[in-house]
Amino acid sequence: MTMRTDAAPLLHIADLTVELPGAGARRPVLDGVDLRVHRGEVVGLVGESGSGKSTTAKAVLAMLPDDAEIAGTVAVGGADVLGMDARTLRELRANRVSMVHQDPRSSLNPVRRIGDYLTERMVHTMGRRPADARAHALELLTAVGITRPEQRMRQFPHELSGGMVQRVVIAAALAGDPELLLADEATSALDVTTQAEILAILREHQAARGLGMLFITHDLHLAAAYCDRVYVMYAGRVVEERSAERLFRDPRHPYTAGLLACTPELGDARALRPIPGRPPSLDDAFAGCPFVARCPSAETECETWRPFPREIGGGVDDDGVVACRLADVRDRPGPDPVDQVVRIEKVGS
Amino acid sequence: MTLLQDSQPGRPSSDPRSPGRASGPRTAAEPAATRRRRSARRRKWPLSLWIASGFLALTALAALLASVISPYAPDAIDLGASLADPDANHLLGTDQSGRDLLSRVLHGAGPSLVAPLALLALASVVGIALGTVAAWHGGWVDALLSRVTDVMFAFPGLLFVILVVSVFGDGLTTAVVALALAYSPVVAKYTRSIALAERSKPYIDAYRVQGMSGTAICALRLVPNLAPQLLGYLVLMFGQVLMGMATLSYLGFGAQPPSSEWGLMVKEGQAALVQGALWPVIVPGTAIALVVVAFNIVGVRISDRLGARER
Amino acid sequence: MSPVDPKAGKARQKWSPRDPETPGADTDAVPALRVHGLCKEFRARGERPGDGTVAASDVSFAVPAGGALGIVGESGSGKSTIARMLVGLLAPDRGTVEVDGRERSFRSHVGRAQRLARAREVQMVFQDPYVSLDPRLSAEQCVGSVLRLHGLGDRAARARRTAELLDQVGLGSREAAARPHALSGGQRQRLSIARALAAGPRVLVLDEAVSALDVSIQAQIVRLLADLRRDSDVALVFVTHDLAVVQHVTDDLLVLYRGVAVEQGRTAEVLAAPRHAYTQLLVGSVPRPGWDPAEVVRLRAAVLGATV
Repeated sequence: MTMRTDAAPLLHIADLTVELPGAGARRPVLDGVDLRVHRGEVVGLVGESGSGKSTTAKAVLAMLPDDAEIAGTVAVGGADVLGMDARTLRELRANRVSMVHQDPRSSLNPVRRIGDYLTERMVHTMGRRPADARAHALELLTAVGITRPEQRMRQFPHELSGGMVQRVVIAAALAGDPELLLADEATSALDVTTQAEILAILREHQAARGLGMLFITHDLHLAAAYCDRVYVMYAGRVVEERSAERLFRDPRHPYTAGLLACTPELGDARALRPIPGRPPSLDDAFAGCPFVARCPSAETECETWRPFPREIGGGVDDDGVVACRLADVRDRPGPDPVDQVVRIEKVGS
Repeated sequence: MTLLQDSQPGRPSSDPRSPGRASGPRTAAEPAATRRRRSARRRKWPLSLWIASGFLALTALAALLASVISPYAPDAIDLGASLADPDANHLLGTDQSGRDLLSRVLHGAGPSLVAPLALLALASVVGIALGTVAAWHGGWVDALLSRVTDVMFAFPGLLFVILVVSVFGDGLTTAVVALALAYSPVVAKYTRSIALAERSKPYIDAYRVQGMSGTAICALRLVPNLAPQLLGYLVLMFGQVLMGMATLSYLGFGAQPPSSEWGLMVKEGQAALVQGALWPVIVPGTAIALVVVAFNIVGVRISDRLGARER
Repeated sequence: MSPVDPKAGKARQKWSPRDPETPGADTDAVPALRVHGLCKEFRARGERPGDGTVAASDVSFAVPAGGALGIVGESGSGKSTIARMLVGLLAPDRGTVEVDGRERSFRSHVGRAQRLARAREVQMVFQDPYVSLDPRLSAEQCVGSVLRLHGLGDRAARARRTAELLDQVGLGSREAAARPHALSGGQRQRLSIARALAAGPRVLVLDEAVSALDVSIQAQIVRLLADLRRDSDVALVFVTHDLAVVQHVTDDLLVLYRGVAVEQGRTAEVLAAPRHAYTQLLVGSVPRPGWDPAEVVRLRAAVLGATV
């Protein structure tokens, strides 16, 4: 509870709904997403393809398509990102929020040297002098654990291994001295041992600089092992938000539980229990809970019950939020589920 | 892009032929959505495309019905009406021999369009075969074919054709074959580049693992998968080829009198320019220009559609 | 160092010699797949033997009929190269691959009969379901074309068999008529498996076959592979980088590092108590609650030396 009641969060996404008018989209990409990242906190965002986790990251940098219909707010350090003018937005992307993508190579221009990649941005966007930029770039490369940085500065991306290119990208992400780091599947394309190295580097800098980090991944085990707090997304909604440890030990949303039961875990030879069906695409529209068709404990009412975040209750581990009709919740904060159904029916009719 | 890719699996493409669209709860919203999508597609047909394709259809029709709709025979000489300006008798005027330009240009549409078509067909058969073989075999076969095509590229095409025609005698057939040979390296080079990319896809490996022979994979699987891209490319090439053919006739190496092939008409009309008569050149020249422009408009559209299609 | 065959009994029960020349007396000793001393080196132009990138160095293993072997390693370990050599897309520099005791030929120009016979020995499922299927063929055409190529039955029999195969991998009639772009990633991978099974192979090689799928779909495919092992005696070679998945699919495990099989044994034992330092590093790198990546970095430096 402390996490949600203290000072203003670094990143605060409130009731964010994003619709893409593109072909075939019949539900919002994001539907009422609430998410907070505090300074010094590593927050996991877990979901399968189509869950909207990457769109959430894009919204933080206001990089959604022009024709997207957006409702809700995204605030970084109290400033509303979605309403920013071009200049403030540039400043935000250059100095306050950095993003590390899944495929590091596609972030780099293959015909430019590593040194140019690092210094260009410092010189042009941040207005540093070339000599200072170079010195800073060398510092950054050393800081992300790259040996012989002078030599690396002269090399091209194809001369470096995947893990090393990801370090360079992280160095560039740290160049603007950001407050918030968005890691979108930043280690998914890497080997397991390299992944651990990159994670260690990210953690080291995050802790040393007190950064907030939004760590987006499809790997629930990784999120549970690496993050302080985890949001689980499904079909554009946050279905559960918990501290990592509790989420892992005692998942409350049937989707989270299903995800844990079907994710292979080293040393646990119990047969995997697959979730039937497939993750919903943008073409699938839902009147009620989007998980209902795959849910083992679904009831008829779930088909019309529009999920909303409810504070978890009924146990010792009663932190966090779950968007399930059947979960044990506190009575007061959320609207009564029965009322909710009635209200939705009225709206729908 | 990533936004959309995120939700790719199961998202039905806009291809109307796609069967087995992703299952999902159907709601009343669907018909409206479908209607909106369809009308959106129709709106994307710009006016220029309508005009261009309409013009081409008319031209093709005119070529087919030339003998029916022409007011005169194309070679009916009327020395009394030599170099007449357009009037009620001769809608587009006459040439030096008093032949009706409208009738001639209508009759010329056939050879002017069919010859480049045949040429392109021949060039693509040769070019696609060579390009595919080069891409599939790689190594020395590729090197040899690439050098041959390089030489063909370096050698001026027109010069090559003139050489061939001077050896084998003139006439439309010789010109078509010669020009097809000159264009085939262009097709071969393009085919090779896209075949190389396609060949590296694992589904081709899968055919090899299944025990299919290389020849069968190329002919039955690889080339058909290149077809949309190739077709788009060839449609764009058509205008260029039509110009090339007309140029040959203009130079006297292609169609021979009394044909009214458009390039030849320009050549014959040239002499009239000295006498101050513009129509004998303007009529066939405009016909060439309009057809080429129309083909380019339609061609760009077709190749965009084929290239953009989800694969 | 081929693992002991604990499934000999099961294998004998299901054994049905497809080739009368196979020595019948020896059947339970002959594994479905035996690989001996496989070596492969990729050399750039001008590089001498020994200077190139080693993708396989004296790799040997055996898989009994109905058995499953996992090959795990990181990128560059040579695991995909070995998979491609097993199916004959690449020829090894040295070493042999035997299926049911018969050595596979790697000659590229062979007659139709030999080519097809080779294809019926080993089949493969590829990693990326988005490019490993012919975009022009519907699911049933995709499977049917393999049956036709191998001359398996007349038109009606092929149609029946196609439906059977698609049903076996959980694709219904709606999916059967669909082309790949209308199928989801999981459905495409099911189709890939049906296509690979169509020729009736003795050995099925799966090269990172579940790596590109969503977790919930991945578990479905893992379940499908388990069903496949229960219902047939096809031998599986499961190539992956994912240690957590491999324990759900395979009995035996081979850990590959730069083309060298550093550890081989029963999957459960290797993962529970890895003996080789590299295997220990791999196992230690898998995230789990309370796991500290910094420790992996130290372990990695100790095992592989500083690499950056």
